[in-house]
Amino acid sequence: MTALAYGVAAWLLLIGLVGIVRSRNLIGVVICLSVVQSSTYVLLLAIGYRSGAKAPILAAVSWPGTLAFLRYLQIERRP
Amino acid sequence: MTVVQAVLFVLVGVGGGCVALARDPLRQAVLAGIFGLLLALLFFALQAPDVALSQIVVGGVALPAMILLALAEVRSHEERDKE
Amino acid sequence: MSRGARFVLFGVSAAGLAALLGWAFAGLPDFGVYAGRYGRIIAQLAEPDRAVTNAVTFTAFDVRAVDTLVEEFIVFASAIAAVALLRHQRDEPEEPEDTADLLRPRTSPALRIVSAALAGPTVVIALDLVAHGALTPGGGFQGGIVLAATAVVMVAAGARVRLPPDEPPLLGEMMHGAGAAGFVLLGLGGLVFSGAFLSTTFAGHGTTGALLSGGAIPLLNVATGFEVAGAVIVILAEFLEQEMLAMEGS
Repeated sequence: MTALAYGVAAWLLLIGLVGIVRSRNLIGVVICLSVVQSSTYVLLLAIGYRSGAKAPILAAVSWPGTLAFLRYLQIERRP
Repeated sequence: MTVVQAVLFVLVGVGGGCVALARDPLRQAVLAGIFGLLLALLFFALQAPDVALSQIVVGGVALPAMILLALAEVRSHEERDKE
Repeated sequence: MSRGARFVLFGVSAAGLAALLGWAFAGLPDFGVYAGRYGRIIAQLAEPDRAVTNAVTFTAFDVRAVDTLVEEFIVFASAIAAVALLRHQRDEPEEPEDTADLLRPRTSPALRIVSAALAGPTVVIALDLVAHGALTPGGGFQGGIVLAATAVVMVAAGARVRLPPDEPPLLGEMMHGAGAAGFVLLGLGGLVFSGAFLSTTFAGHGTTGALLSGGAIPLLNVATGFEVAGAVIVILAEFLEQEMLAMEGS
């Protein structure tokens, strides 16, 4: 599945460039440029992801509602 | 990689292709909004909630709003040039 | 160069770029294996050092605070650029003061009702994100831009946008100026009280999980929130004013 993650990043870069070449006015160019920009986001997150890890919120809070929300995000209380 | 992440990766790829290959800028604006929301879901599935929050607002509200306002401005300039 | 020739040239170059990307990505570690050390160091330092639980705002507003300062000024400069560029094109004659009819919204009632219902909760969510920046996911940028989205929601709800012809949108300008200045002043406060620019330890730690914890990080969050919200409101107001003037002229 590594190929899927990095492949989507490369695909977004290339298809954004195709959109830039094919567009007929500057507004289309800027929109396709935002697609190219999103490929860099996908690459950055794909490199930094760690399997089975949780979000970078170190939870030490003890309010009931917050706990339910944090558990939903797979962040658990620290022992 | 979980199933949710794999599905979201594929959807993001398809969405990016749709945005880049669409013809009309008006259609591209709406598709860009949907693509931004799909990206935000992918970021959320990759355990990055802060990035997802920013992406929801920027990709779903701010970018389509700017595109639509720019399109309206261009269209009214064209109408005024015709007169 | 004709359009077809351009496409052929692009096709050849894109094939080369795709090969280069494939070779580059083949050397990256597998998906899910993060081999770096920085993330682990940050995760171990955030809790004991500064009593914050959100490691991302800890990184953005404490460890790499100078980068955040530069990014804030990028947003600030882009707002000023939008004002400078879009204001000079205003050479249309002034309309008489009967613009109330032109600014009446021409949108559907469903859009206006839903936007009016959503405007209040969105403001509350934005302020909550900014205030709890050091504790839960969110922070200055996220809360600030949700606050700017509230302005968009209110315009969609049919708020009468009565911008004076040659004056800036005063609330937006005051907000983003105050935010940028506040960030720099807090940095100077760190310099005066702790000996390092943008040091956050001068305001005391607080207990982990309380709203006032992490030194000056909540204060920096508030400054960033104001700045981002103000800048995006100024940019969108400039776009909207252009469109309003264009509608008047036609």
